[in-house]
Amino acid sequence: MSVLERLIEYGESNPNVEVEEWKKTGNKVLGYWCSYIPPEIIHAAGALPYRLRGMGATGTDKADHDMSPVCNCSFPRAVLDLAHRGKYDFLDGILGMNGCDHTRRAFELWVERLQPTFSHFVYVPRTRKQVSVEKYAQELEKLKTGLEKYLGTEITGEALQQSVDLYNDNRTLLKQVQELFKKDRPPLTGTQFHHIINASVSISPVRLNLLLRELLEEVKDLDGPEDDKARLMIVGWVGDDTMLHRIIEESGGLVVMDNCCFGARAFWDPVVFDSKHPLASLGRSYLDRTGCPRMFATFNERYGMFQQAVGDYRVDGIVRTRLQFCDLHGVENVFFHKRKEQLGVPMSAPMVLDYIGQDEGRVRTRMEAFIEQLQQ
Amino acid sequence: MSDYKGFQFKTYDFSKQLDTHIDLIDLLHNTIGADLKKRPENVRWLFEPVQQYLDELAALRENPDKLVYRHFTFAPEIVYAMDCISYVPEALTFMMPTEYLCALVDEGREMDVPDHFCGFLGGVTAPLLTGRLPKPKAILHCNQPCDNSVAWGSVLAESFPDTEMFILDNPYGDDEEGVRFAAEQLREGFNYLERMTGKRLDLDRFREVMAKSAEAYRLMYEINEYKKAIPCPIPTSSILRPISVAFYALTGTEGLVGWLEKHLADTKERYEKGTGGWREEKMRVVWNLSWPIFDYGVYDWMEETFGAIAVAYHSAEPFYQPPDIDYGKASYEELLRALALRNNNHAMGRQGRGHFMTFVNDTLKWCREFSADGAIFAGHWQCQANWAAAQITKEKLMEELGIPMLIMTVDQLDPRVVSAEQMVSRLEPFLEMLAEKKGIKP
Repeated sequence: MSVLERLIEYGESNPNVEVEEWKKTGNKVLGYWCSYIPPEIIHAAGALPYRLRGMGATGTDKADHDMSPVCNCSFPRAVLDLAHRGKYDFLDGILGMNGCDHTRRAFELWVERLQPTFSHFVYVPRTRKQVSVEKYAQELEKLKTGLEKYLGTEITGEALQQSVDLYNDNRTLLKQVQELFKKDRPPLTGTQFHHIINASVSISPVRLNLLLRELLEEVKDLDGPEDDKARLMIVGWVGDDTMLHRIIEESGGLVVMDNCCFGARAFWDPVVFDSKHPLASLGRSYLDRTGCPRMFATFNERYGMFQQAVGDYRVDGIVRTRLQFCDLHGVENVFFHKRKEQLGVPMSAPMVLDYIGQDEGRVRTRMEAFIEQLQQ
Repeated sequence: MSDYKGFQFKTYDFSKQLDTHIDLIDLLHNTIGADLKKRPENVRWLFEPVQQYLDELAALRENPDKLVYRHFTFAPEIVYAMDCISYVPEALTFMMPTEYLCALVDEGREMDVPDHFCGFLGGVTAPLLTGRLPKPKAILHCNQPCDNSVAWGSVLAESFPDTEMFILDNPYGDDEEGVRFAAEQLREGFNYLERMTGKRLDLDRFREVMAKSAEAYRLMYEINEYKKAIPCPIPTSSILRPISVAFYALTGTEGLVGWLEKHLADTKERYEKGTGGWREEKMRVVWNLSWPIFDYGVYDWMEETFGAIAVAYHSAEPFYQPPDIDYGKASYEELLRALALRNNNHAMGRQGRGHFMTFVNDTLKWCREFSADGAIFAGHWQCQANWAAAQITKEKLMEELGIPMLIMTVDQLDPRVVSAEQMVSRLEPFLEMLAEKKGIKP
């Protein structure tokens, strides 16, 4: 199996064989909901941080008992459904936060209904005011204490520094893979890269660094197939499901960039760590990075990233998406609408998606039409 | 099975293309305000909070420098303490004629506002983004009660790129740490308002505002005690609109205290005479979350058909217990703490920002204290956090109090989502079941 195939397998599996190997060593695996919970702290405590995903869900009926399909997002419902079905029994605990209303409630309901051995909630502010940054540092301190108590370990400054370095290496290497898409004929497809990103949040950072280095070595001089594909950027997609990438690429497109939760935004900015103020600097870095729409009034930062990407990656068109009932990404479609002339590339009409992918036919029709339009 | 077809709910004609490029404040002041003034003397007092708020908005014309945008769950006391005018753009939707609301919602959707956005916030997005609402001197925003509010903050930032905003990070917890966190931010909020408006905070004015706020809450708790009587002297449904305007927009004002005194006197009188509302009370329900602003006839139908009286309502109940301090001499720190407590316990915000058990426990409390026969969760289809608490609430109500809860969908403002008739079709079997349980013939 090539390194690429291995990474894809890790990304597609939930859980993957790396998790099983990790568990065999007697170490714990902790699930976390969102990229605003620093995996560095979990890793420094000796546990494997495993980002919760909905991959593998075929329905949401177990979760729907508590979270209504009338207005609750299908991604956290899919995750919660997997938990109800025992698919997350390999976890030794879960960490939640106020990423959005849906994931926050899904975490609380998981704890209420399934009573995991360990759970911890991290309150993450939505602004960068000094008092909010300090509050986040206090929350990270509570997380550290909670983990130390549960795992019977001490998170030392050195361990934290080491974990930060490892995760920063992850980010640097993922960015190098991302940059391969600047080429006319990238050696990877967007779907493959999305699988790699999914793998990156579900295996050990040490192992990931080894695999990414090997992958870069293997593909850096390769070119992809000679065909004239429409180069697309996806914005707004939340989940780990690769359905959208796959459909786009089966319809004559190539996803060269994104600004999604399981995507470039998660690895774009390195953590700036100050060993004298470890948790404060970690917190500041997480709040200051290119924000998710959960952070107040940060659209222009993301927009700057889109503008840069349109040029760097020679984007032909932007696929605007949102999961049904996502307010945070949903409202950004309005701002895109206002700027549609400025970016200089066509944008699709907002595509409302369902995480489980039950509407694949509709999505395919829409994507085929958009790509045909671009190619004319 | 009763025949609700004989009951007249409001009808709307959405076929006309309304001109929405109008001055919304003028529209409200001239139409709603004028209408309220025509009401008979003996019931006019009921609508005073709405009139007071409309008059404050109208005063903006003369005092544009006092205009401060405020999110509907950001405690208004901070604005009154700075002697500014508290303007809640989203509250316009709450008061405007339904046809205008729907036209504005549609205009927003043409600009790609998500179709699941509630009428409350979705209704003013288009006027904001197209510069049809007045430019504020300052903007106070916060992240409770829902993601929609966070998204709404982004709309404000987009609409007024040159106006710095102050955003309060509402805490998750209800403990002292959460109060301190809010208080520290509110201190910054005052600094921000001083910077943006050029005014200085007068500590005596702040004391006065907080004293009036505390008095308003004291009166409201007293009124609520009387409302627990059977029959309920003032059904919540009859004063939903003014009481909501009062506690979302007017706490800290003399006008509100005066109105609550009248309200208390009226309630007391009705209690002493054993008078209920308009119709005989046969059963009582707690109405949870959203109510059909577009058609209060739903309550008339419930009362007329089943004698079902809504005695408590999510947005009309007091949650804030003002600290027992001497407001006339209180220090700045004490006042900030009181304001933080007030803010953390703002209706809707309190249930939306934290753990779902707050929602569950509040519902249990009302049902217990008001001796409810049943609860109705009228879930605004945008209130995602509360929707995810509905099932657990239902289970706890049955476990602890042995009473059932109906779960149904509404949009508070837009009857095209769920009409009054559709609501009735959900309510009817539930109320029939309650009636049967109580041995009442509808």
